[in-house]
Amino acid sequence: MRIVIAEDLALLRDGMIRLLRDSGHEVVAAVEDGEALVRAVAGHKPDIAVCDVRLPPSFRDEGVRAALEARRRVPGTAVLIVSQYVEETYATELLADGLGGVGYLLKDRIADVREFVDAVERVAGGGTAMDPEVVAQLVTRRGNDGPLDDLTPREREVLELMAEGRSNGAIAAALVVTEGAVEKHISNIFGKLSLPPSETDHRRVLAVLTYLQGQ
Amino acid sequence: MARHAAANDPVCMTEQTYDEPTMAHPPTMRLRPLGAATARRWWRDFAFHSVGSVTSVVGFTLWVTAVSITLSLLIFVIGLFVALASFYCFRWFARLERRRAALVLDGPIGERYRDAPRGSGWFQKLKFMSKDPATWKDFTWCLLAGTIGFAISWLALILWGLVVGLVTLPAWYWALPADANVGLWEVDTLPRALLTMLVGIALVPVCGWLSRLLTIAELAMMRPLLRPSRQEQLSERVEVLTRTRAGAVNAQAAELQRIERDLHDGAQARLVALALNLGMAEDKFDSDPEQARELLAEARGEAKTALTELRDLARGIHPPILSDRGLESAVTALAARSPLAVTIEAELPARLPPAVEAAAYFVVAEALANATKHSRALRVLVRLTVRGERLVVEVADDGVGGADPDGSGLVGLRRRIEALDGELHVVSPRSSGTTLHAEVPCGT
Repeated sequence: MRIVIAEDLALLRDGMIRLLRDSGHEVVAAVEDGEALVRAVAGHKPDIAVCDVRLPPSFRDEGVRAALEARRRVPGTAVLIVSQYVEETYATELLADGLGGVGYLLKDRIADVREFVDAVERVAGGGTAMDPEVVAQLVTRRGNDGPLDDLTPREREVLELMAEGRSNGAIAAALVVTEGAVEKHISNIFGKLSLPPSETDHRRVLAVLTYLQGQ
Repeated sequence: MARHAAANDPVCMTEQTYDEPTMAHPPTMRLRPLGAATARRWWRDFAFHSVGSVTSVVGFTLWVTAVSITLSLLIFVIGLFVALASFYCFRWFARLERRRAALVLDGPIGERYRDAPRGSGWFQKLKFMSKDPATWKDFTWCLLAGTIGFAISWLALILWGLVVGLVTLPAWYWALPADANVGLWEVDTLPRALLTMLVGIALVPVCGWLSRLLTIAELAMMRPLLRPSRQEQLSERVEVLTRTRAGAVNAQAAELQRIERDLHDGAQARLVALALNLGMAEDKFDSDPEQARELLAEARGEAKTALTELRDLARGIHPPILSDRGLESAVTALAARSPLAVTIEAELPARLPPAVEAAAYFVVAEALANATKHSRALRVLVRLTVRGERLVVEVADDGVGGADPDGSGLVGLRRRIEALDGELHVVSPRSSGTTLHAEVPCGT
């Protein structure tokens, strides 16, 4: 897999390069700011761009803007945003185009090497990776009303993992149950929340996140 | 109106804002065609003089009565009582006149009295009042309003009466005695009455300008007597600034202390444990790889917790989304995190000064946190608007009310707001919700 990284902190940038190379991926460019990211994506046409939200020169949300710009210039580029903090607003902006291949994770998650690499691969493959914290924010917001309360605790866990973008297999592994059991939970959830069934993982994530965001 | 009367202040202050552009730049006479604005100004002048024609009589009666009774009774102790009552009457009259002046000004006139501390005896009050220059200015104005003010108001009314009489003459000229004369000619036929009406119409602007002139003259007398002097205004401003600056400095020191404690007890301690675990893992690396692995896993756990704590701490100091996207987005994010149903109404320019944004953000954050923790509220309304040059933040919940405005969280907020020259009010009657209202100058 060919990867472009945008991260201004050298320590973290080198760490990510090493981690991704060790996992057998090719880091074709590592840049420090948003403009360079857009150029690198246009030049290298990577499978995925991994970038920080805060980048020079203003250290605000250049990362998100640059990633969206890069995606507009080279359609189909997957982007994974990593950040010191997560805000649902940014998640919404990333998901807005309805196409797959977006991720938004806390930098903390990089420490779980295997899961992080898994998320990078999933996003590059057109899937989604939402940080549990984003999902938690959304679930808190919807905490006070009907349908979510009807879910069993196990179904809630499944819903949260599904919203993060995990596949059935990954959900089964995380909860130590069979894939069949997960499928059953999922069809229950979709029934209780009256969501239409979706074919792909990404469509499923969108449906769930849209439900959680919807007022 | 701001009230900052604290129980331990040596002197209680009654304050008002002094933003009176019209007083700073007195109304000037401008000759221009009769438009809606001019007509409105003349109408306001007319109202000013009409009310003045009554208040001046009240003022004169008040002054004469108060002075004569006080002077005749002053040899008895009861005379002092009457003097105190008179002072209050003069003050009442001055307040009435300030409101009358507001008819022709853009804003109310500020007032400032140095009153005895709350709970003082009547003699103490009399002492404070008799030493306060404002009392003697009220006294003087009462007399001036009753004499010169009376003349000015009635002169303006007579002028208007004259003009109205001339303009309406065709309707009632027949009632005049046969040899009635308007100074120029006899008014005995309709054409002559109509001609007189034209003269009357021509005199309308003259009358308008003359009454404007009378207004300006009266305001010129009022200004030094009804308004605190520049020096008093400044000394009050210094008092407020001294107090709010001390508050801001203390609040900042307390905040730094809190951050230091959080770092010390939180992330710093975690990092120590992490280093310890790593060191132990290094030792055991060859002899006991299994335990070394466990220690490493523990170290990673510590690192993650430290990260979470640092993130929360950073958000408490200055939430990243606030600098990234501004107040509205940051408040929306706050609302999203809240378990309550929060409605946001925001009408804001793109960005406000960072200190203002931060203060407003923390008002909303504190209000939402309090609503969640104490109020048993279900719904919260957050309103952010800019009125004039001030950012207004209102947060209202439908909870049980009874919030303590002097609780530590609200006191910290108030200091933060006052440091920016703003105000914070908490309205929280028992069992009918809590409303936080903050205003901060934002210089947009």
